[in-house]
Amino acid sequence: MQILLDNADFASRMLQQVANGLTKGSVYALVAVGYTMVYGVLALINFAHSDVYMLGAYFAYYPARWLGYMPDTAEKPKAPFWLMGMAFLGAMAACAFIGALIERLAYRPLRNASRLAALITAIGVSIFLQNVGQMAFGADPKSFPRYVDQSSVNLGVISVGNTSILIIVVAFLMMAALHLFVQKTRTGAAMRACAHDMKTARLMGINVDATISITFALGSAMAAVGGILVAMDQPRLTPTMGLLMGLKAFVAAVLGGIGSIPGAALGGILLGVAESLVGGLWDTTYAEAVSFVVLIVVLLVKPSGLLGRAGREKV
Amino acid sequence: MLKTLGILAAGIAVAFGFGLLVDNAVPPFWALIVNLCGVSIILAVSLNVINGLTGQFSLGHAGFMAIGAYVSAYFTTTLRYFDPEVAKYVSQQPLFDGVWGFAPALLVGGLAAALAGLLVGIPTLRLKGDYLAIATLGFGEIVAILLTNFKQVGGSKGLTGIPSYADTSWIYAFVAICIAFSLFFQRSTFGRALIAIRENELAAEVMGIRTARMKVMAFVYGAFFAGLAGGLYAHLFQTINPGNFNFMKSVEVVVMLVLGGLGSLTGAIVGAIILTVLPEALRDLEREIALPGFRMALYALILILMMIFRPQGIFGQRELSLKLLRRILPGGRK
Amino acid sequence: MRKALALVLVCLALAVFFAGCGSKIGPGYDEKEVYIGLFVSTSGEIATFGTDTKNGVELAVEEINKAGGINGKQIKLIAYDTASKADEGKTAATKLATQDGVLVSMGAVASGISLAAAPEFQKYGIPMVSPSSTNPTVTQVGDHIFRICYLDDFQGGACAVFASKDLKAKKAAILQNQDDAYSTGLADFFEAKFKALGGEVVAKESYKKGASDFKTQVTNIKGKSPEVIFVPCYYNDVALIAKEFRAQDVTVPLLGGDGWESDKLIPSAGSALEGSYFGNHYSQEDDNPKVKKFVEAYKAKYGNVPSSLAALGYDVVYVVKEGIEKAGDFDRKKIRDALAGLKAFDGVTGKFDIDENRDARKPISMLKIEGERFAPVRQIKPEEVQ
Repeated sequence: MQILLDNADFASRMLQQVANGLTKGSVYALVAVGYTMVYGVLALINFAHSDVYMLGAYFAYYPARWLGYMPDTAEKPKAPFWLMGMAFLGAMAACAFIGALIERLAYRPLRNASRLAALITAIGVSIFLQNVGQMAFGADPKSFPRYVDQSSVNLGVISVGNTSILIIVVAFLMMAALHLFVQKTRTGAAMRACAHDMKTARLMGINVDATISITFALGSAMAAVGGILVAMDQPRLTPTMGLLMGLKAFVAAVLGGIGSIPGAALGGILLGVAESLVGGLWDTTYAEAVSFVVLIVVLLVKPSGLLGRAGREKV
Repeated sequence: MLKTLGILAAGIAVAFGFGLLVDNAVPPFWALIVNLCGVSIILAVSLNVINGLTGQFSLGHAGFMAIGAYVSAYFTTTLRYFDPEVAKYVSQQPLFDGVWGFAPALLVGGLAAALAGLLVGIPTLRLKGDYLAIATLGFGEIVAILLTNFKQVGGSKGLTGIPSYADTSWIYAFVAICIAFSLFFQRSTFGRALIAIRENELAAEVMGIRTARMKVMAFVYGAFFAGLAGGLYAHLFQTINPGNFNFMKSVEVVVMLVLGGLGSLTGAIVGAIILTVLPEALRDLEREIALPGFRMALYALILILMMIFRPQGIFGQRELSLKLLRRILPGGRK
Repeated sequence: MRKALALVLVCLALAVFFAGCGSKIGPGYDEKEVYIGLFVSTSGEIATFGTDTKNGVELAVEEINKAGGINGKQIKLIAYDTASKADEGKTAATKLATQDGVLVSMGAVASGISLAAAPEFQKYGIPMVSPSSTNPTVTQVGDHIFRICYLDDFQGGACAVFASKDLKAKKAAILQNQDDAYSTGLADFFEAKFKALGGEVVAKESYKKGASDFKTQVTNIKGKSPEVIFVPCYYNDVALIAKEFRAQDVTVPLLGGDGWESDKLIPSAGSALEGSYFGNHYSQEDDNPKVKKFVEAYKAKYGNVPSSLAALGYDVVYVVKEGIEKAGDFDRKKIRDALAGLKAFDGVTGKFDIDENRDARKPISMLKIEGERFAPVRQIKPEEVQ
């Protein structure tokens, strides 16, 4: 009997860990989408993507602060629903603009340079944004406005935070919408064409520059949503909050197969659940190493990832 | 070969002379900066072999440095006693000390890093460009996580009480060794093979260069000197922890290379010096305008602008020499 | 070859020429002023702690200078920012010791930075007094290194005593920041003492620096149903951790060390920390007139209630002053001896002695979080923990 009880207890804890992992993984997926789309088109790891994620969270913070919803007290007034909607849309628009701007200013001049030069520039842009963020927002952490009240929802043997459910649902909807956009619209078709072969796409009359800008804008908007969702669940903003998230989301993109949007979704979820289960079953000290080990193993065993197409060497 | 040995001997002699000069005549604060420059030069020159000559892209140099630093410091702190447990209670004569402890400790640190380079180099052979970059980044992070979890080397506190062995003479002797080896390599068959791999790997393979072996060799070589630099760093700062060797440290070394010009030995040296002295010069400025983050933002901006407007760095793949100077300076021979 | 030889000779000649010019350090005072160094991090991750410390230091310096200085000389404070990095501790120390030639130096907050700086001051025979580096190894660097705060082994042990005796807990869990020596150190000392007192540590979970998702760790801890959870972390992590515990319906009190203290703790944690406890260097609500006077003066100057780091910064200046006055002379060796023999120093953070390890022996104040207050519960004395 005791064994049965223990097992039931164990099973419910693991179920809880899977739920934790799903929450974490949904955000990884949402951020990974941006990496995967850019890599698909430009074959560039956009290191600055994780900092756009950070900016998204800050952009949703300041309106509430300006309107007086962030007093320095324990109990903060709840921000109204319209403000949350505005924060989401505003941050998405602002991040989309910044993402496209980064591409225009930093990456476009290097489009025909070596990929190494582009990669180094991307690292430079990332460090630049982090430190400009520190100058503009301050290094001290900020807490996040009360857009939603955190509470836990009881689902039988496990309890899940309402923000977790929000994260999973919103992330799933956003990615489904994006997938439909890329598959069904003309712009989406142009993006796919550019990813396939940029030169030919240009010859076919596709405005390649505009398409790349749209790719950056879309990916950045997704990162902004990710940033806000995480800040709702874990209300602390810092200029370096994108660092770990960016690394993991990139690993998720590689795991799922870089260039593939469903791949990014799958990779993100798998990575999140794997981290939680390693932490739950073994030791949280090593859970952080999971993503790096996964990265190296995937790169060595199947660099094209789970859902990616194997690339071919162009001589 | 003989000539290289000659250069090496002369370099070490100069290093000791320089050390004497710095120890006696330079204010200690600037001596520290000079020493830091030396460590940076070794790091940049060794990374140049991997990133510059071979055209691979490693973002894990701090990982190799960490291994060298930890192994050598472990040697000179804990292992030099016959029995460290006993040494805690009884004041015991160390088994080896000073030069006799330091030289082998550094060497072992370098070899450990080289071994890690071998272990990383072989499996990552099939990766190119940014995939390799991200894999080595992962390696660096894993090293840091492992060090954090090893209680024997102090966990997150790291190692403290490391003897202060690395003075200017030591550091610059190794700078001389590192430069002499790199010069020799660049001009040897090995170096030319690496350059061939950078320019066109497929063609190099066709020409009969064993590209796989060469690439791993470059990794091992770079890792060895990064390990030495780590050992020197540990015995300069006397305390190390995993946080010293994070991703930003690797990036810093890459920036040094890029600034000087990927593939140029003198470029690496100049880049290392600029990036070590610049922060000190900027420190007062940063304090005056009271904008923390300004320094790193400026770094990043230099990096971006460099890549856009002069991706070949200050020197490109050229070397700084008297001849080049004469050509650049006004009134020189054209 | 000949060129190299020439270079060596030139170097040697210069060395002989300059010999002795470089390594001399100044006396540390002139006719009017005495030079005192300060190195804390006013930028980077732990900038809040450094800024508070510096505020406390500046308040004390201002008071002393107004009252006539030390033995008739005004204090000239020379301060450097160490940017939350250990490397910068070493460069700042070298600068203070050799370029500015300070008489005595104060700093740093983080033990890692103090450890990097201490060998320099030791080398040049300049006494260094750390206001708030709690790691035991700091003062082991040498006989010129002092501190005026309690140590992590005492702090961790005191929390274990509090958990076991006051909270009557038998089962405790620990959540630590694995990349932070302060956090892992406290966790280890707590664990050892709690076990020695007959308790059981049912879970010890870790997270990586910069992480903000603690769901996995909290679920693990919840599964072991502890009666108290020791969270030896800094306040901004604590706020998130507390929220996650409450989100997963874990209601037992959390317990922590001096890293919790910040006027931003409650605003960012909300009600999640209600009824939790932490150990601190002093209580702002203390009735001691000395504390009251300090809190008033600090509020008047900076507009907020002083944190314990500000209090330690304030105290460290007075410790240095007493050291110099007892020495009777502006001589570093004599000041060192005076500091080493300091007894019953009466400061804002309590009355304390400097013991034979150059550490302060002083009690810890356990505080309880009630609404927006840090209410004093009781003091734990060093004797109780041994």
